[in-house]
This record gives sequence, C-alpha cells and structure tokens, in this order.
Amino acid sequence: MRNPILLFALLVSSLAHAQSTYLKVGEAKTKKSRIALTRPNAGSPLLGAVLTSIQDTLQKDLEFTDQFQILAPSGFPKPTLGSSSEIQADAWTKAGADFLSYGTLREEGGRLEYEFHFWNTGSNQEVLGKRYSGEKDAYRILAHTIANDLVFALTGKKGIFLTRLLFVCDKTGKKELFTSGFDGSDPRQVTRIRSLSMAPAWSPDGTKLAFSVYNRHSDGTKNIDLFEYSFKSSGLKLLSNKPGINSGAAFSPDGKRLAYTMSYTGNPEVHVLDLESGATTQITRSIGFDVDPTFSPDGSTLALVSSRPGKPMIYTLNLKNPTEVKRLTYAGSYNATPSWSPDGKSIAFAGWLEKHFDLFTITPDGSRIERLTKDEGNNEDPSFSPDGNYLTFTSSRSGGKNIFVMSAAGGNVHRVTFGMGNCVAPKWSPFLQ
Amino acid sequence: MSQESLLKNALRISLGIHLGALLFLLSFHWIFPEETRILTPTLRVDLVSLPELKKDEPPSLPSSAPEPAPPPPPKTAAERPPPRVVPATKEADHGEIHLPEKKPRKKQASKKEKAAEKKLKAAIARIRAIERIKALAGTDEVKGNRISKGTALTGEALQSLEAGYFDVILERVRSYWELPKWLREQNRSAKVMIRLDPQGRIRSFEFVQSSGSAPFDAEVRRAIQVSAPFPLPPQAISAGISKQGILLGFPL
Repeated sequence: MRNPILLFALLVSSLAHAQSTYLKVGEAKTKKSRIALTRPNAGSPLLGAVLTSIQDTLQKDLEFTDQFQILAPSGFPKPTLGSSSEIQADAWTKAGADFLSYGTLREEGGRLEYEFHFWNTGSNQEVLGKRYSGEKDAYRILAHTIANDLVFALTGKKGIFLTRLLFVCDKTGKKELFTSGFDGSDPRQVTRIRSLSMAPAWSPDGTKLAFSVYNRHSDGTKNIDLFEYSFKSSGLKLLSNKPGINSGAAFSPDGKRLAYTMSYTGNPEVHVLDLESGATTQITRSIGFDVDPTFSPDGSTLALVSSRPGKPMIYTLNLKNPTEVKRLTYAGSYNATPSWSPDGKSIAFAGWLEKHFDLFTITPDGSRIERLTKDEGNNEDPSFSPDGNYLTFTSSRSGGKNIFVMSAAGGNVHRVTFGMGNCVAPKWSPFLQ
Repeated sequence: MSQESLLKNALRISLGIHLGALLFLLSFHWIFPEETRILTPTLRVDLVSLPELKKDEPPSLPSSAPEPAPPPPPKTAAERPPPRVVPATKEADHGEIHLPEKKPRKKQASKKEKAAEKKLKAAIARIRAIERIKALAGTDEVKGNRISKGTALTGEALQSLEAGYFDVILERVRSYWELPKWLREQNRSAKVMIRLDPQGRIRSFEFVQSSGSAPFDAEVRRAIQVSAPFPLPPQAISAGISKQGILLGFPL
C-alpha cells in the first residue's frame, strides 16, 4: 500500500467492525421465588402432625416476606425425595419451582431430628443443608430457625422470624406490657402491675425493658415513674421517679445510656441517664416540650419531638453538642414518635394529616419525606424491625387500636393483636438469641 | 424694637439654627460614614405539606377520558365580527344584508378535482409504461441493461438495519429478565456473549463475566434461553451476528 495513513485507517476500521455489539439489558423486573416444599416421610401419625406444623410455620414465615411463593404439591414431579441424587432439576424447573426443599424427620430419644435441604433448581446447587434438633413441642422455634437460616443463606442477612414485638394492651382492664412473635403468635403477658404501663423500650440485647408506670408513692401521691424489667429475673428496678413525667425511654445502641423525658424542671425536657453511674444529664433546654427521643444507630444523635416552633415537629440533636439541633419537619401540624431505621438512612414518624395520624419516613437530613399509610384510620407509633425491612405500628383501621406490621415501604400489612383489648406503643425487638 | 425688626431677628436666628443643624449632620456623615451593608446569600425554604400519596402509590389519573372542551359560547352581538356588507343588487332593498354566494369555492374545488384527475392519469400512464418495460426486459434481456437488487448495505442503511434488529433482541430478553427481590438487592452484574445462526437460534452462549452468584447467573441463562429463538436476522447483518456475536450486559 502506497499510503501508510490509509492503511492504518483501514486497519482501525476493520478492527472496529470486528467488535461485537454490546447491548445493556437494564434492570430486571422483580418476581417472587417459587418454592416447592416437599413433604418428607414421617414415621408415625404423631410425627406427621408435627411435620405439618413445621411446614405450615415455615410456609407462613416465607410468605410473610412477600418474596416467596409456595407451590401447591399437586404439580410436583416427584413428591418425596430422600437425597440430592434423586433431584431432576429440569423437571422441577418445568414444574415452576425455583427452589426445592426435601429432608427427613425422625424422633431420637424423645427429640425431633429434622434434616433439611434447600436446593436451587436453576443453578442446580444446594443452598442450605442442615440438621436441626429440638423438643417436640418446640416445633415452631425449629421452623422459625429454618426460615432464618434460609433467609441468611439467600441474602446474607439475618432473618426476623425469632424476633418479638413488645406493646401495651388493656385487656385486663389495666394497661400491661405484652410480647408476641413478629406475626402475633405466642402472645405473653409481661407485667402484672395493675396500673397504667406505658412507652416501653427494648434493651439492645433484648434481655431488659424500660417502661413507665403511673405509680402511687408511699406518701399517696401519683407519679409517672421509669422502671426497668429483666426477663432473666422477672424483677423490676426503679430508674427514675422525679416529680412529674419520667417517660419515653430509649436505650442507646451500646445499652449503656437511656434517653427519656423528665418534667421536674417544670417543662418536659430530654435527659440522658448513664445506667452504670446513675448520673443524669439534661440534654434539651427549650421553651416547648421535648419528648420521644430515639438514638441513631451509631449512638451519636437523637431524633426527638419538640414543640419549640409552636407545633410538635421532628428534630435531630447532636449528643456531643446538644445545642446543635436541626429541625427536620416543617409540614403538618403535629409530628410525633420518631423511630430511626437500623441502617440510619430513614426516620419513621407519625404525622397529623387530613384529621388522622399517618406514617411517614424522612431522611435524617430532612431532604425527602415519603408517605407509608393512607385512608386506613389512625396509624401511629412506628418501630423498625432489626433488619430494617419491616415496621410495626398502632392502627385503628380494624376498629379499636391494634398492633400491625408491614413492609418498610408501606405494603403487605398484617394484623398482629387479636382479642387483647386496645393495644398501643409497639416496639420491635432486636435479633434475639 | 418694632415688631418687624423682631420678626427679622427671629427669622435670622431660625435660619442660623437650621444651617447649623444641616452642617452638623453633613459633617457627622463625613466623619462617621454609614457601614456598608453586606448582603449574604440566603437559603429559601419552601414550606410544603406532608405528602398526600403513599410511597408506592401512583399519582391518581382521571377516572375517564377528558371530556371534550365545551363548545364556545355564542358570541354576543358586541363580540360578533361586523357583517360583510355586500353591495346591494338592484332587486335588493336598502338595508338588507346578503351573504356572499359560494360559487367561487365551487370553482376552486373543480380546479382541484381536475388537477387530481390529471395526476391520476399521469400515474396510471407511468405504471403502464413500467409494465411495458418489464415485459420487454423479460423477453429480450440484454447483458448489463438491468440493475441488480443488491446484496450489501453500507452506511446509515446498515446501521439502521442493525439497530432495528438489536432493538427486537433487547425487547425480547428484557421481557423475560426477572430477579427475585433478595437477589436483585445484591446489585450483581454479568455479561454474556451470544452468537446466532442465520435462523436466529443460539449458536453459542458464553459468560464473559460471571456475577459470582450461581442463582444470578442461572436467571441470566434462563432469560436468554426462554427468549430464543430470535427473529431471523436480516441477511446483511447475519454474518456479523454469527461471527462477532452480541454481548449482553445484565443489567449494564
């Protein structure tokens, strides 16, 4: 070739044409994973009944997440499997199953022995294979444990199926503390004080509660005092009984401090109690009332409700410099009960709008507000699940006041309390052992 | 002292006091100049209400198609354009208004019709001429006297053809590209090279970049397998698709 530039141009051109075309498919649509829960052979009718309970609980747990769909057994190509060698992944894929569970259930020495396997039919790989052992009557815990392990195996994050909810109900005629499973199962009465218990909070390790009681003192006066309850000892310990309000407690993430409201100065202000030394520090000093403190996940900041602008609004406060406050909400006429999400990226609160309280979230810098509930009665007292994927709250949507849970985006709402009178002020536990 | 002289004295004293005050104020301003006012940028905060729509709630749409705009109200006499005054004919009484006749429009329409008829005749003549030429060419073909329909495209035409076919492929794969939420939240990505045969079937399938997650890769594989076979690739680009292939990025 006479002209080297032309030669080079032709070479580049031919190389460019030799390149394949690159197409960006884009974000995938969201779908539910379809699961085939095959039923292992149970050796006896009793084991069969236990197995049914385990699988029912497991199914409810997985369906609660709104990410899984349990397939009806009628379409299964081979209903009973004993080992992975029997799996024909293609047949299960054609039957619509993305995942397949199989295993064996036995009774050994009065205990249940459940060997559980979870298989991805698409990648033809085992996702989870584990042997579970437990008491016969602890089948529910066994099923929740399997569900937690499944969620962890798939997402790398802890499941919430063994967490509990704490709330106040008046079914006894008084206001007492109760707990239940995340789905409302296994409700238990915690206190029997026969007074008005209110504003409970979990300690970060889930072994203690802080709450307030309308308490009669020895001199006959009544006061709202702050107590601590220990699940281990079932004992109560008085934390604060200064004249006036001692209420609205929230544990710091390290469990060493407690933020709450006291009004002995004449005006409700937020204080922080050092649980080791017993020393209290006044944090807020404003002309309005300051209540409902909640710690940020790193413990450096409080979100709280303050009426200093004339109307109750959500503020954040830097604990290292308590005069450094930031007003987050400007809209609405009454914003209350903030709850910080575990990842620190969102604060849920109840806001008065259109003659109802509804739930909203706001970013900690106040830049974005989103609405979670609408046209369903009053919705108050939001509290995040420890994985941040769900919220529990009080709602009057079913008549009376009851506890509900829903996704953090405001969907998939489930009622938790039934026949327990009016129930309010729910708090979702941390991950429990 | 007369009253006049008293008045004059009073005026002089008053004038002196006013001049003194003016001088004092001027000198005060010169000695103590007013501080410069520094304008600092301010932050404007729009006080908005709490959101009315839920997080996942789409904005409400009108329940039915928008109603057609009501007919404009009849114009009042004042709004009406003044009537065109046509010169009265001999038979018309004075003060009587005559609407203009439509005869001129009819004349225009007939002109258009004639033009269209002319065009139609010309088109028919052209078609007949082409048919005669084709008939002649079929019977008496001479080497070099016809244009081949061609086998290659270059430039914009080729690019347009490629783009159209790749759009079809993308649309097909996107319709089957689904992930469960738990897998989507892991923010993984994969790249797959596919080569198609001239029938649009997958000739080869290769992960150029795995996501590192077997379930994710399985969903990618499924989306492509279910999408195939693809429509027949245009002949002009078929060879390129078969040799160089198409690189698909999930999601990017």
